[in-house]
Amino acid sequence: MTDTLPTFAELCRALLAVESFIAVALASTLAVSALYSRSRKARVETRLVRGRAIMARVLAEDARAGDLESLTALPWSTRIALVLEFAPSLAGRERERLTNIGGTLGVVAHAEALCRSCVWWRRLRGARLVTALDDDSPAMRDLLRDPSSAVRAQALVWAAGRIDQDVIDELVRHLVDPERLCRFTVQDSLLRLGNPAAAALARFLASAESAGLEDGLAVARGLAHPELLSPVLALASHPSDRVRAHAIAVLGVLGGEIAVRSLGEHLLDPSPLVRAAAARATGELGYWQASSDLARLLGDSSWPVRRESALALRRLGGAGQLSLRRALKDANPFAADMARQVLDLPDPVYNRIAG
Amino acid sequence: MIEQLRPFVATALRLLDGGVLVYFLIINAAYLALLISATVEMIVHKLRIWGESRWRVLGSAVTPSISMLAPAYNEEATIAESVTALLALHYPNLEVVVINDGSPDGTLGVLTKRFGLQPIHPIVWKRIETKPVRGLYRSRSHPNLLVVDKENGGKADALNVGLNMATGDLVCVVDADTIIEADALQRLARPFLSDHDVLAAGGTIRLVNGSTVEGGRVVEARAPRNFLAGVQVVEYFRAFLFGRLGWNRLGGNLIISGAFGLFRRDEVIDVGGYTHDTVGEDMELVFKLRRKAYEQRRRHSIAFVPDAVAWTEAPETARVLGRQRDRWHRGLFDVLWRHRTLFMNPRYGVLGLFCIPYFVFVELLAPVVEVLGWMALVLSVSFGFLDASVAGLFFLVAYGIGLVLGTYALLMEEWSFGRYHHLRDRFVLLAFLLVESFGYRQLTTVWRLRGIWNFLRGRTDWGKMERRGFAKPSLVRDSAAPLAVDARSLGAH
Repeated sequence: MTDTLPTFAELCRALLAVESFIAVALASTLAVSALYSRSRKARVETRLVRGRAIMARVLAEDARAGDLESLTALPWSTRIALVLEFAPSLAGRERERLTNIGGTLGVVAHAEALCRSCVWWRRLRGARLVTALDDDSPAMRDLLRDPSSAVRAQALVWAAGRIDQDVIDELVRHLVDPERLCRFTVQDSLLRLGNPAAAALARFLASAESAGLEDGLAVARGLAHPELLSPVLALASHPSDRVRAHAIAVLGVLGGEIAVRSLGEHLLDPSPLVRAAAARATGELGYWQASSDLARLLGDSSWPVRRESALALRRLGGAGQLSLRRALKDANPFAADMARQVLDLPDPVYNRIAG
Repeated sequence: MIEQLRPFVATALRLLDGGVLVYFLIINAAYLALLISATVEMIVHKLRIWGESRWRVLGSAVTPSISMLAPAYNEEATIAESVTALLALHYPNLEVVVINDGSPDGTLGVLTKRFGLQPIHPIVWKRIETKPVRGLYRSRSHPNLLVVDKENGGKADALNVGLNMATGDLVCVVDADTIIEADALQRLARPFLSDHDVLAAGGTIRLVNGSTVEGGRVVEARAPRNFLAGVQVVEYFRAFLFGRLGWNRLGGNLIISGAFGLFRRDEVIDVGGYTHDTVGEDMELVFKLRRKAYEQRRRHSIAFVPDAVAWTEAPETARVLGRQRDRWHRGLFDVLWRHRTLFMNPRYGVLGLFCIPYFVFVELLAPVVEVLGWMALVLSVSFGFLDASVAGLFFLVAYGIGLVLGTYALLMEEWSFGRYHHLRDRFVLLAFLLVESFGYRQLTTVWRLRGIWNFLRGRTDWGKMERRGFAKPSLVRDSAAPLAVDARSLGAH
């Protein structure tokens, strides 16, 4: 190493010089940034406090002369911050007023321009602003098919506020979106839309093969709309046990004679997942006539099926309780144990009943 | 005699010097890659969360449910406050499961009195074998609070009981003495909403020492006055904002802190829950999850969410800190040893070819190489093979790299979250960064070497950890354990 000393030493010196420069630069940036952020924070906070007071007056239709001008005179960042701050806590007429104020302040136009940007994060900002203002901007419809999943998801959030058949159809199509974020958002948006989404969802469930079915059925369970009964009944015979289990859960909230008959058949399904779902749904519907079938499932080889059938029996009232008490003496120890757990009997009582 | 040995010593020292130099270069290249990756990740993260409205998640019917698992042992002094804070977290479908791990003190009594617990008999599928459960209680005043009283079996056993009892889609593992920010769960759940392949997500752990805590919330973040706590704050910044964030983009996150992590419950149960006979159970669980996913050829990821923040208390005495670092390093060695077949194994992709070698060479062996490096430097100078001024220059270069990385981490904190509002605090932290290489780093090297030695001797105890407590003095077992927190490791020396 001795013969390479000069080179190594020179290298070290050069490196040290570079490091010193970077370290000093970073430390100075840190100091300047800290100083700047402190003064900026004080400035911004003052503007925000003033802006909040004016915005509150304008929203309450109690504006003084010059209030709107004062808001317009605020910097962009403050105007946007105010809109984003007020939006989540407003609804109805006050929300409409906020949208109008957003238009007057130029925030809507700014957001629409952002929505048309070729940079994904600018489009995302635009979409978030338009969503916050709940504005029916045509630019947002294009974003429903944006290549960026974050932007697409934001557009799907916006769509939850639009009762428009084209938008609803587009929403339902996103149940098969390759991105999980979009699928989650679309489920939430469809649930928020409520009944207007039922017809489109029923069409989707009737035509889809397997992708998106589980998510679609989860929405169907939340909507519990009678229009969904026919496609859901068909899906109860789907080859995938997960889809069948979801369909059974929907039948449990839809109810009716046909649903109950289907549930009874699925108590004998080869898949434990489906049997458990059918037992739970039967209990939720309070269909006491199925108590003997449920009692039979107390001896099932699958723990979740035993649990769900025992809980369903407990929900069924007198008939179910009777089946559970009988099961305490069942030759199958698993059935007796589950019945005991569900009945939550103290040891002396259990010993007396079980003999 | 010495003259005869001189050529051999010279050759040996040259080899050692060369080895240390190569190690130094490799390690710093790795840091550079992490630094770039962390920067890109932070920029993308900040762009993604601009104007984000989390109230939708709060009100959505499809948001996954979360069960918080909080093991408690001898925490009668702080348990009521901790559980109240957990119950106040902003998240829908939240269940809090407190597992009293056979505390001989009045932990259960305090909980019963404060939350009106009444015995219940839920139907539990014991999918993971655990020590017997003595009783189950549900709160009358807070129906989403479940308290499990069990025989003492350690933290891993307590968490496994919690996994059996939990009903949430996701389970959040917390220490009973960790302060979680009110909206941290919403933030931490974000990766599970956006990606189906996420197995687990971890948040940022910050040190509460010096900060103001009121009603179970950190109301003002301040830099600690205590030297050891101060240098640990800088270390944690480096480890989380630079190490874990960097690995996020590279797909190599291996650590979810035991103080605050979110997991898919079914996935954790499928791998058998937490392992009992290790002190690195947090890391071991992530290893098992990733290993299984690779073996099943499934796409998967472990996410780190920088803006989901939990606060914990750092040890303020050398004795306690030494025990903690010893245990972390033992845990790291243990986990790497258990999964040694993954090392450089192409079947395990990035995990086998990059992450584990990084953890072996950069984290585990760092103190060994550091000591060897110091010895080589001193001997080379003593034998006249290396000029003292060059050795000094090399030390300064190494110190400078550490300084640059540390300052960069502080700057990232300033630009990204800026939790420290007082100007003085930034300068105090910068001062801690400047002095940490003189004494503190050498101490951590000794503690970590002790950890390696203790592992080789087969020591597996946790050791008692003393903490001052946020509000009043308390004695709690330490389990924050952000393993390999010192991501900078040897490189700087």
